[in-house]
Amino acid sequence: MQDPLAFIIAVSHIASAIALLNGFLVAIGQARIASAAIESMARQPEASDSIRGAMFISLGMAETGGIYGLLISFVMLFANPLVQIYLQNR
Amino acid sequence: MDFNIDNLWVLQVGGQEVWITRTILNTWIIMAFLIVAAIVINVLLRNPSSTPKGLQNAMEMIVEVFDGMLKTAIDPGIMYVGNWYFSVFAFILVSNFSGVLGFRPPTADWATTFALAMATLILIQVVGIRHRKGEYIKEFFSPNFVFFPLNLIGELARPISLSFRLFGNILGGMILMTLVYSLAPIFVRIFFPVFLHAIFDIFFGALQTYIFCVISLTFVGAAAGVVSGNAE
Amino acid sequence: MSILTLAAALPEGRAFALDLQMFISVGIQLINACILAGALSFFLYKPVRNILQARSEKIESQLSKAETDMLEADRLKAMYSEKLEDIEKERLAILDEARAEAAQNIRQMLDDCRRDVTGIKERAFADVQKEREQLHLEMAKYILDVSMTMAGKFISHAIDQETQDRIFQEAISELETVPWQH
Repeated sequence: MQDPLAFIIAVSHIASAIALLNGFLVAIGQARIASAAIESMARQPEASDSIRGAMFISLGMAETGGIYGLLISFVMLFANPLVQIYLQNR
Repeated sequence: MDFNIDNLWVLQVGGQEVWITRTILNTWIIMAFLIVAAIVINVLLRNPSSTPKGLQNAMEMIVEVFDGMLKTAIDPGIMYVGNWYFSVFAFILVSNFSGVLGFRPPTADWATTFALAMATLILIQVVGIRHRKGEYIKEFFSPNFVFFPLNLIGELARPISLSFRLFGNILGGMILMTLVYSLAPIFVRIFFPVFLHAIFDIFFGALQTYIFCVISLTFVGAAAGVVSGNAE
Repeated sequence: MSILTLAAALPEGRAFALDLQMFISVGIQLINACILAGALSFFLYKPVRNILQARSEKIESQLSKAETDMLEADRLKAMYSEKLEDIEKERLAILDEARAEAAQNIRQMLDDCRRDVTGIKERAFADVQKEREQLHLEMAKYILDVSMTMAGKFISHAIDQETQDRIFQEAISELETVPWQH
């Protein structure tokens, strides 16, 4: 291990990529929500307004997980606390 | 590649450093814009006509649509929270849209979104205690007093999830825009960002504003329960 | 040392951090949001909502007025139709009454007529009877006169006045006792 700083940065980037992987599951969940909402809209077109509102709320709720991963990846990339710790203790 | 929140001034207030960041300055600018617009509209609407047209029609439509959104989420008895959520809605919307003009949106700072989400948390407690009193407090100890810490954590997780949702969406869009502007070749930067602005600032901005308001309204409505008895 | 001074050096900016400055910013933003909420709801939301509410109240009152008018109209309509029905009934009653009266009148008139007619007939019969008797008497007298003159002429020389009167009387009484023969 020649340069610990480079190692930390490399691991942080890999970690941010892994954190972004949860977008996969979030996308599946949102797709299921949307498909269920569209199905029920097709079944009951007269209730489509309330279904749409509920769908947006559920999409937002489901998106929260993805947003957490996104934030962790941002922190890893641009505001990495590990780098700060290493630089302070060198 | 600069998406950090700059510090513009550092004030010493009673020995404590207070950083006046770009977020706070942008917030003040947006506030000034909104308040001036509100005063101008207020002056123009001094003599409302019975057949609305032009500005009055537009404002009535906005308020009516907003009230419709309120009515889907909360009981008619607590429509007074509309006063708070109207300004929150307007502020978040204008903040998100201000990214189009090259502003750093205040909502792309966790401080703003967490402040709004904390206000939602406070509102939830106030409304819950006001309309359901002991019953609401008892809910923290249900089904058993052992569950109190769990319920408390669940309650405190609400503003965090609310704030991070809005913050992450707007910050993600902003970072993408910044990367495109700083990294892409010059010919890409001329036309291409229009679409990105339309998606990230306008579409996601409006959608996240709606979701923030509707979810926090749902929380407030759930805390208040059914209070139609004392509807206006 | 003053309470509010500007520090010399600006700290480095950051995107996201959980430290004291962030929470001071949260507090400032909270105050900002409250100020904005107060101003916007005072200048914009409440007046527009009041306009809307006033209008909806006006419409509501007009609607309720229309509804009461409708009720009143319904009531009047019911009253008039009832009256109309009454009038129909009254008409029928009057007609029946008139018909009954007319029938009675006619019957009475017929009775009167019949009575008159019988009276007239009886009287006429009586007159005829009387006239007939008178005629019979006169005829008898006339026949008697004729026969007397004939007899007087015939027996004027034979019997005197006295015998003549006696015979005459006898003949008269004889005539009276004999019933009229057709």
